[in-house]
Amino acid sequence: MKENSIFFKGILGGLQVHVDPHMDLDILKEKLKEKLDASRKFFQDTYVNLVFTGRDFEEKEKQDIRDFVAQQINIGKVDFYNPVEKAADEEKKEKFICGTDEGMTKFYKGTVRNGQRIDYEGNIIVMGDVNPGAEIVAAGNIIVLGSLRGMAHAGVNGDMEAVVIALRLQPTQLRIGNIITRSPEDEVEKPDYPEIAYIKGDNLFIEPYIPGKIKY
Amino acid sequence: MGEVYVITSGKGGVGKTTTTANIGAALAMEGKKVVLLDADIGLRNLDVVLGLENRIVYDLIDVTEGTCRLKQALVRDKRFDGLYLLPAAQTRDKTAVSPEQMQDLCKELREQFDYVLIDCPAGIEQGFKNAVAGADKAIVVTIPEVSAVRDADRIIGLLASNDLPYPQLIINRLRVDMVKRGDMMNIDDTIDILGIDLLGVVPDDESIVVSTNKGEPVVADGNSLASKAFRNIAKRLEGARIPIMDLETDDSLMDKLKRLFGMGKK
Repeated sequence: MKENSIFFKGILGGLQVHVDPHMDLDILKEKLKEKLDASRKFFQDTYVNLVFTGRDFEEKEKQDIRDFVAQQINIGKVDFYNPVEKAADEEKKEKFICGTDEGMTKFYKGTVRNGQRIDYEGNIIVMGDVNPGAEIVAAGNIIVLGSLRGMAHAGVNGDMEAVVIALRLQPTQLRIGNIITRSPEDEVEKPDYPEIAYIKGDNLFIEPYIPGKIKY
Repeated sequence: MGEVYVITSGKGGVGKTTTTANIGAALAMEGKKVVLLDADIGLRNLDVVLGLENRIVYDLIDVTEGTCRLKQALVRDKRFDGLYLLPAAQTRDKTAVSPEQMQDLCKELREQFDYVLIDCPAGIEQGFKNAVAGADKAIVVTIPEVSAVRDADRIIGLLASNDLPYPQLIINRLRVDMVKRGDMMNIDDTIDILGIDLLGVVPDDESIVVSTNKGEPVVADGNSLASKAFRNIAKRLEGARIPIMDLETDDSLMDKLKRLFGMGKK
């Protein structure tokens, strides 16, 4: 990484700004302004959350950056992760969510009912039904060993590799990564076999779940 | 030591109060000592359905606030021996009583009665929390409509988090003709979503409207289908194994007779 480099990454609800550990504050501001100018239209009328990572900031510097950014755009929350915390964070992440192939899984036994929500930074398996009005939100895959009639969001942190499988896949809404789909308005024949939902390109596909024929 | 049941639904207007009144009356007909507790403070109806409105002197809040003794507030039913009503206060609201006070009240009532049936208000707020606080078991009433079933599902979830994990279900106001045409959710659809044990199915019956307006429980009149359904529910609570009434047959008496003589269509 070359000296004084800075890069931006879109994250859920904001922007991550990764800066070089020894970057000069003035250069940082300059680059930041460049970036914000370039996307000014995009940031118009919204509050932007900023997360600074990579460099250790002193309190005074943090305040300086906050003030600077506030002059440019409507800012929401500005957070700073110092390298040490970040390293620990990253390690934790790597340990728990290694994409969707491996990692922590939450098992929920029973019916998830209207008004209930299961949130997990990993995969979720529900041994029961998910009723209309219930929400299942996972960083990884979602598997429902029952009927999925509520809302399911797999790959909530942006993982488009995530899949949703249910014995009866009849969700009110299905989300994978940043793609949101809803069930068709008109009455369609409800299949009585397990199905899988996955993302290919920009589209969400649903097809019968056939073991051994996994191409997603 | 009696059992405390809360009768709840989430959605309003599905027949909680009518169900409470009729199950209570049916249990009293079985010779049990029953008290109906109206927890719908500020919107009380149970007294009207029972035709006891003009006999109320003290109410639930008078008891919890110590204005009167419990025994003074209990209204004895005019038709059924062993049936009592503890009316809600009409001039107060749900915040006038706390879950702890309801627990104490239920504890006191269960020592004197075989059954304590609590008529829960609609909604999931303070009134609901009060009503479920002192209950050992719950009965969820729903009608075969999508919105009512949604709310029932929500309520079942909330009951589970209030230590009432296995409620029983009553499907009220089922219209067999509409189910047959596919215009109404059937019993199986409803149970499939809610996934709890079925306590009874009550058909939609004009006699309910008539009896409610007259202020007498429909179980008093022995002939209607709804009356029979409520009496069956009471018997099931008593532990009898009675199959769910077969509402699907719309055969007239004539058809039945024909079948008996081997002339029928089946």
